[in-house]
Amino acid sequence: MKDKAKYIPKSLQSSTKWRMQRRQFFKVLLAGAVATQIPWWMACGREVASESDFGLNEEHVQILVLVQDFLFPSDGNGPGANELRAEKYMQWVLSDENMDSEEKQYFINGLSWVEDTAQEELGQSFIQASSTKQNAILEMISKESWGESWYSMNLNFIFEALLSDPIYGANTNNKGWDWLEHNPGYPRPTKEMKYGNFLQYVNQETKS
Amino acid sequence: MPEEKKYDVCIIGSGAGAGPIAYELSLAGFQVLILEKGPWIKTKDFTKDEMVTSRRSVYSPNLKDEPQVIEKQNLNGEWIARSNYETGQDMWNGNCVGGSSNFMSGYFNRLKPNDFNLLSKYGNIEGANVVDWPISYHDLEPYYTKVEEIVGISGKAVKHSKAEPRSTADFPFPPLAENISAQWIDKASIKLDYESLPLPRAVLSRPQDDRNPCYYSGYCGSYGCSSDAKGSSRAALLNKALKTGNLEIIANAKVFRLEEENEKVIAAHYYNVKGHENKVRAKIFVVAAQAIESSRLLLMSKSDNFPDGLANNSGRVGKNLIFSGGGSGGGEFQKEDLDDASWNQLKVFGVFVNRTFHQWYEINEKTFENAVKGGSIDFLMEHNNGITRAIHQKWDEEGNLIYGSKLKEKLKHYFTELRSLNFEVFVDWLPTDDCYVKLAEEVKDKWGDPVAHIRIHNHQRDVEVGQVLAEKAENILREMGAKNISSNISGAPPPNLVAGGCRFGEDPKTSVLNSDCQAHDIDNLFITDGSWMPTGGSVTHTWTIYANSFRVADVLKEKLGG
Repeated sequence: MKDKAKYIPKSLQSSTKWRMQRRQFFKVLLAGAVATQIPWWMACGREVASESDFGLNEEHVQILVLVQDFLFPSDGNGPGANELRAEKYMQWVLSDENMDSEEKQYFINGLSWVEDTAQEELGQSFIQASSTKQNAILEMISKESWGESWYSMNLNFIFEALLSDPIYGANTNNKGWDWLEHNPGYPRPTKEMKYGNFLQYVNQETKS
Repeated sequence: MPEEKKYDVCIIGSGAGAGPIAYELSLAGFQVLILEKGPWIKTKDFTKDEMVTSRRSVYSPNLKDEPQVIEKQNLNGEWIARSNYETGQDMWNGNCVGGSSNFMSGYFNRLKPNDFNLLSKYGNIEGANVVDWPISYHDLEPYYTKVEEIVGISGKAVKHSKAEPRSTADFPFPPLAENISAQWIDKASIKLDYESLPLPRAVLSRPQDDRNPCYYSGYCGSYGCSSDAKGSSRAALLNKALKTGNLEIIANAKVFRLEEENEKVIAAHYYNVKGHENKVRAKIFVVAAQAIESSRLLLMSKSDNFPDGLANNSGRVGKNLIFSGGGSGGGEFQKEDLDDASWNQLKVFGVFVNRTFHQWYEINEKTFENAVKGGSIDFLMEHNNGITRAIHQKWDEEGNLIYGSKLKEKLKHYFTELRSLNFEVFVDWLPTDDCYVKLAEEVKDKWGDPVAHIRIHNHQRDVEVGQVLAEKAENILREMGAKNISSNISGAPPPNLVAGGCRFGEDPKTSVLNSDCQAHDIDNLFITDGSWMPTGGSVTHTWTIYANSFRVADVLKEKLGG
């Protein structure tokens, strides 16, 4: 695999091994850099967000589900990515127009590169391969520098699906919170005040 | 056409530097206007939603719309400047009514008398622009006390070796409820002969007027307060000032130029929420937009009298930018090492550790030839942000990514069988020639104005002093029986603890403001965020910014004839 051909966005290059910076515990690399003040919201629907420039095709969705299950499996120890609705959550993330388009493209490229790797190494489609072979391909990718960076990005969003308020469509029935005995604090967000609606709501209130 | 309203005072910004001015002047009957760049988020609109507070930049601007250029030295010593839209190094804080004081943790310590005369007490440090302040601790003491009462600070005054003089016996609000680990710290400190002190907090432990006391939500720093217990400028000062009917706040008003005529500011020009240009007139203008943006605004406000920017004929605007030096660290307590009672007490949610150490505010260690200015240490439990804590767990000791069942086991253990007790070290960020703000003419914001170009440099002394303090903090954790103790002292700037850029002083050639925080060459211009600080002390700046702003408010009242 030609690693240099796999472009990692600059915003992710230097900080993929980001750990803990002093008093910046809460501004983690990816999302902190790309979100915004512009009020906008798209509900996390059931359909693939095909109208968006960064919607996933059916093959991408299938690969995403397998990758998420590999990274955060349903192994009997708490919920896996699948039970958390992490795939739907990820589609909502990609439909957020405030997220940096280069990073969105990188995320989608990663799904294509998984398929490319399977074709190169197995001579068959990733989705068609046996689960043993799929795991071997995903283990192989983890050793690539783009692979580690891309898995790291995937995990950030799986963690969001695990521990964000269920109002965002993941962490179904508080499964993530319950498993980790996590206290989310109160008051919890309402529909008006969740990310995407928040500033529009606040600014309307100020006017009235 | 109706006559344009002329305010007594127009304040740009609404955080800790602005609040006391608005409060004091409006209570004294003057007409005050605040122009705040961000939205007006009310108490009822704050929730404990990690997505809004920490995972997306809702409380600060999109870096695509409002980037900044950050310049740092690489390992070869070359200065490299990059837009933070590319790098993600976000230096914005709390763009909303009340500013970043909404999101502080409120760890409040006063400066100490030695902070006001570092140069004469400890001498010059090569490569650092250390100066004495034009005022002394005694000038500020009554105002520190005023902040305790009006903003509301809870704590307990105790005698200790580095105690600063107080004009009152104790804090007006008793200490907040504490986690058991505070007692463990106290016990370890007795054994080590260290002085463990209660940490004052700008958080109400009892009601004050319409403000409710702390309800121990477990989410304080980075979060807006839902009970108004936290002493933000908005909850503690602006809400009270609004009741007088003399304060007006325009939110989403981005000031881009102060118009000068005959060496007076006559108007503030701003973009409103729709991007249209407006202007307002006032007798006095107070800039308090946080250090970086305050310097930027002056530099953007060019005129015939001030071709290099307002109040900048000395060329000093933007220079000597400072942060808070030091770093952080921590240690872990595992369920398996504790008896059930201790573990259950440690797990109690929402209560505070609130311990601080000041005995090394001046240090005399082998590392240094003579006594040098030291710093302080605060202890706190690891922040409860779930997503952020999970993200920290995805790397192993060697820095390799963990995933799959191994990651899930680690997460389960981390969240349910372990608690991390952390500390923060605060030392001076020495002012140097290589830490400043200028205009980045080549990079514009969404309104087409040049953004701030921030060159960041830390003096090596900051790290050396920080390491001495981190060792002491690690000793405490070790004595307590903590495991996996570590610390990270570095020259990384904490974006939320920024000051300097328009230092005050007696000499107009070397400072921007006089001792009243009034521009040397513009009679009706004052700057009251942390910009005026020539050195920042070795504690968080906020209490001092509040206190000084109350002091300047007295000057303004006199000037306006109150």
